[in-house]
Amino acid sequence: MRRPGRLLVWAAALFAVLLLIVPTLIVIPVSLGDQASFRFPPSGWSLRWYRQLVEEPAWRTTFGNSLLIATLSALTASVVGTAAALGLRRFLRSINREVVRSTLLIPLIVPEIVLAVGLYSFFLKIGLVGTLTGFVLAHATLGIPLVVTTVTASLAGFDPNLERAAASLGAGPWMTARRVTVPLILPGLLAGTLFAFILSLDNLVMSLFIQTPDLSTLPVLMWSSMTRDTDPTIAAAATVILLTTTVVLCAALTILGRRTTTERGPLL
Amino acid sequence: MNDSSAARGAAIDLTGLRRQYGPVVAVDDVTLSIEPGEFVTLLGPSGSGKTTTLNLLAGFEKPDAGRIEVGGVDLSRTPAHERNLGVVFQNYALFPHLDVAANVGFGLRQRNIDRATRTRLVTQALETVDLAGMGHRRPSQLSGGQQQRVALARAIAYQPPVLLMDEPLGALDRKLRDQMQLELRRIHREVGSTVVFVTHDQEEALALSDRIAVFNRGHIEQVGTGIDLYERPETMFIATFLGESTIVRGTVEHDTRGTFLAVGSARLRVAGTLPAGSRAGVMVRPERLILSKDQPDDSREAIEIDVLEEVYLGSTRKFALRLPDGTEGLVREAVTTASAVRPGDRAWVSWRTTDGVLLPEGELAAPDEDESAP
Repeated sequence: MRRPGRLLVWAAALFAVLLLIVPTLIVIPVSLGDQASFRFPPSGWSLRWYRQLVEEPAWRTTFGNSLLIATLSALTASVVGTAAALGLRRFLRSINREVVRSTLLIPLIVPEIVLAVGLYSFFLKIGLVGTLTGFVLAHATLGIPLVVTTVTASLAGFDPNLERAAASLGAGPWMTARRVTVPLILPGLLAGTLFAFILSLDNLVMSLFIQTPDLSTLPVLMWSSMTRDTDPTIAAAATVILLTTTVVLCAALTILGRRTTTERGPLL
Repeated sequence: MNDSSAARGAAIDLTGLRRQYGPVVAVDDVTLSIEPGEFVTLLGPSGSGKTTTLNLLAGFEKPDAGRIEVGGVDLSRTPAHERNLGVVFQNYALFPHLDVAANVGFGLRQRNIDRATRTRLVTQALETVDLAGMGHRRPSQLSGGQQQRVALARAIAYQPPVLLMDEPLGALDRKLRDQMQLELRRIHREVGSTVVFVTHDQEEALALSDRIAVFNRGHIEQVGTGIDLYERPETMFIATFLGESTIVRGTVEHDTRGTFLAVGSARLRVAGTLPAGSRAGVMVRPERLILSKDQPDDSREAIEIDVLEEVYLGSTRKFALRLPDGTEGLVREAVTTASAVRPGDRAWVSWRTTDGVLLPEGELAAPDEDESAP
């Protein structure tokens, strides 16, 4: 902080923080207000909107749906994405590998609305619109490229000779994956899975296309009630999503930064 | 390994092995029989097929043709994890998430050996490689030499009948390598497994092996003991790859008294024979050559040469020569025998007929880039 340049950097950083984070945080006091309005600051404090979130069946079921869909789609994405990242190593020619990798990353690049329209017309045809499977597959589509990316990053420092060594010691392909490959790529695998979970939890665009009145998710309900009335239950739901994603993200970053533990062997 | 020494070496038979990558034939018709308990080195320049042969033997790659038998059992189509061989890798390939004992015990665990036996065998293997008490270290906490010992302990812990080693000492510095060579010899004696060892370092090959198979361009050029290869090379490649050599080239001639090599006006007697008229060379090891100012008597083969250079090397003195065909040759003489020749002299180099090896003209080994023969 000795030079004025430093001060300028800090000021810019502070401005960015205010601009990016503070508006997000406004939902927290709003969700704690006692009036059925979005007024800030609230005139009084209460937990009624949280009670509403838990007790009102529509909010409760969609929240449950969101958690279930997020969990299942994250698991799907982690299995498929890890398999893809591991399989990508088998390409002998790097040009082929990069083509396939880029194809896998398309869902990250293509505007989500385009992807959603495409999936919608496809799902309509095969009867997946409005189903749990439809939601899980649609969200997993978005999660797979994230898992591929984080697992590929984990594999960058992975010595393929370790798998040969495991084979020479008598471990078949599954045992090698379980005892050697997966433990060593676990940080990337978990981080990718958690990112996929978050992506599904707050997904709106895809969900809008796939939802039906019978099966919907929390962000969809928030969106529709927001356009209908000003119900601070939305703020309460937003706060819950905010906290969940923050906790999950912090967990992911901690996992990524942590070293794997050492398994101890038998000794006299 | 002393009491439980069920681990006896198994015989290995490679027959007509072939492995191709696109148009490149990495291993071409390799046939090699290895005795139980033998220490055989696959030696050759990089890209000569020795590591691919080892990978085929380990099951990491599939042969395009040929047969691999270990202990009389055909393993050609058996996956790597069912071959029950021990493999030591150049870069150690220790599992970083397991401690030393878990690394060494990995193979035992795959074999469903009970914990008590596992504990005993892991401890024993660590003792064999002189790492007792290091069991709970992480591989990353060990030096390169120690990591290589762990890799060795991991490969011998389940007492496999065959140990495969791919340049296991390549990443160690000279001094550590010399020390590990002695250790490897001791461990080989104790364990009794058949060892197939890959290296490009001819000194290492000579120091360790019962027999050496020299690879060149995917095929085995010659198999034999170090003495066989050094004293009785069968090709120009072997003669120039292993150790130093001086080659006098000429044309083969026959008459009633035997076979000769015509070099300019000189006719040199040679042991062995080749078809008359063929281009050939007589290879003589530099320490078996003698330099003299005057033409030696008829009991030795001799040619006139130019002395180019003299290098003093402590116990020996090395002379570089210009041979009649323009190529260079070497003479090594003990510093105690002071020949009177000096660089720039016209002189004679001579050898006993039986010290010369007649070889057909053929491919020479590329000069070794890294440090090798003394």
